[in-house]
Amino acid sequence: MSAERQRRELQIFNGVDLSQDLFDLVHDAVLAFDSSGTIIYWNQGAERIYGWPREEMLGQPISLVQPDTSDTEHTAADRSDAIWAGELHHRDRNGALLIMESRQIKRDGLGDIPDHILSINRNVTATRALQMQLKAHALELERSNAELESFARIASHDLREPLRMIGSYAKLLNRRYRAQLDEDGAEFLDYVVDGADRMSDMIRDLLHVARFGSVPADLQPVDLNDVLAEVQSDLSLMIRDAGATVSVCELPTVVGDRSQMRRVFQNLIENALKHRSTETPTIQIDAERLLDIWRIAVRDNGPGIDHEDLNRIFIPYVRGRSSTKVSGSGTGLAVARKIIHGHGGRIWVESEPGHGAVFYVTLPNN
Amino acid sequence: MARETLRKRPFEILIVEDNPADVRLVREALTESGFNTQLTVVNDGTTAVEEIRKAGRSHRRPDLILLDLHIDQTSGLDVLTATKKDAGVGSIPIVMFSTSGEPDDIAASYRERANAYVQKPMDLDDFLNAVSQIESFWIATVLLPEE
Repeated sequence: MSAERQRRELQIFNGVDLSQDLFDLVHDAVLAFDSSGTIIYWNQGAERIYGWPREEMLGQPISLVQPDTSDTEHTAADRSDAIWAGELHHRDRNGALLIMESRQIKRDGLGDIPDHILSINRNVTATRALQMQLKAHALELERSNAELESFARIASHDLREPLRMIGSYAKLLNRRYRAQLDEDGAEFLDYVVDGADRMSDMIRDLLHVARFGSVPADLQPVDLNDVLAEVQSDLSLMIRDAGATVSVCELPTVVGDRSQMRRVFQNLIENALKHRSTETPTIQIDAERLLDIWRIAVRDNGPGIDHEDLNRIFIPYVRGRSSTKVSGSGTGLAVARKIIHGHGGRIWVESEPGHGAVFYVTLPNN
Repeated sequence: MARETLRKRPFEILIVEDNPADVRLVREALTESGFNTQLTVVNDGTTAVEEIRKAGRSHRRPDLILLDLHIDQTSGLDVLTATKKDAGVGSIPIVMFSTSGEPDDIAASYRERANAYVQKPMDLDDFLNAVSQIESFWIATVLLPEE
């Protein structure tokens, strides 16, 4: 099929010439200019985008919208018979910058039509601006996250020092001068000691949250069966005191940071041991493979969690409504979540008040 | 304890510490433990480097250096490096004694040949205990080179 016939067939459909309508319907600017740079075609899209009406633009130089003549030379040099595609900086009627994704083709003249370059230009100004904005936001978010992390780290470090002074000297005072204090004085001093102790726990936990960065430190295959055995042995006193039964089914080997994995399951089991109902605590850990992930469940028969608290409990220092009497500063689950997210997994809890809770952890299976 | 009872002069500890409250706590711990010790206090890193160098030349070397990591001017780490490089005093055991538990701080200290790294415990009793353990270990348990 000759090129000419091909062109004619496209234009003529069932005897109707569609080409003009098609060119005017497309969103993009379709334009053509001859070898001297004089505009010979200008569609409605071009009218909309550039703000110049067709009547005014026909016969005008292309440099009106493409002021940088090197662009014209550049695209001409690049272009043989093939289509040239690239990004061009154009101007609209008011002189505003337009970023155009341009595709162009050079054609020899035919009949009345001179040698020309046909160009379809898509206005990507808004898209590019949005992309740059998104990129800037992402960078900003990354920066402020890193800053926050190092702030938490530095703050908790620097706070430890004066707090250690308060705590130590309050205790020393208590030890040496308690006899000289009256009842009120002794009571006041007790509050100082108690406050310093609690704050010291909070700072330690804040350091924990800050220390686990978003990227796991040391990735290696980790047998979760070993991890759970270690955690059970670490918590053996607590498990015995609670009279709890901890049963662990066969668990997979995952890729992760071993000490961080240990921290996650220690925090989850500790959490289950702390939040117990009047029943004998029973904690069950099992795993299920779902396509390309492992889902590990830690089930307890504790008091369960209020619906409003299901997401909140993973925020640092936020504790569930029902756990005001439970010890701890409320960072264990936050640390677990940070670690699991760093490993590309998810963590959540499902629970009905009065019917225990199930903490789910997913990890990629690689 | 045999070694301790044989000693005629007190066991000299140089503490490099810019926090007077911590110096006092160390003093408390040393008083409680009952070893015959003498404590010399230096408050900043630059003075520490000078004092240690002078001590090396005067043949009155401290038996043990307790070195805080985060101190004014020359940092504890610089004091450590300078001391370990100095042939006159390089063999004096240096125990890093810092609030920091940062893995980087610990690693850097041992890389610069600290003899031990002890994190200052938050709790008073743990703190006093740590100091008296450091003391009894370096006085009564280990053997140090003769001067």
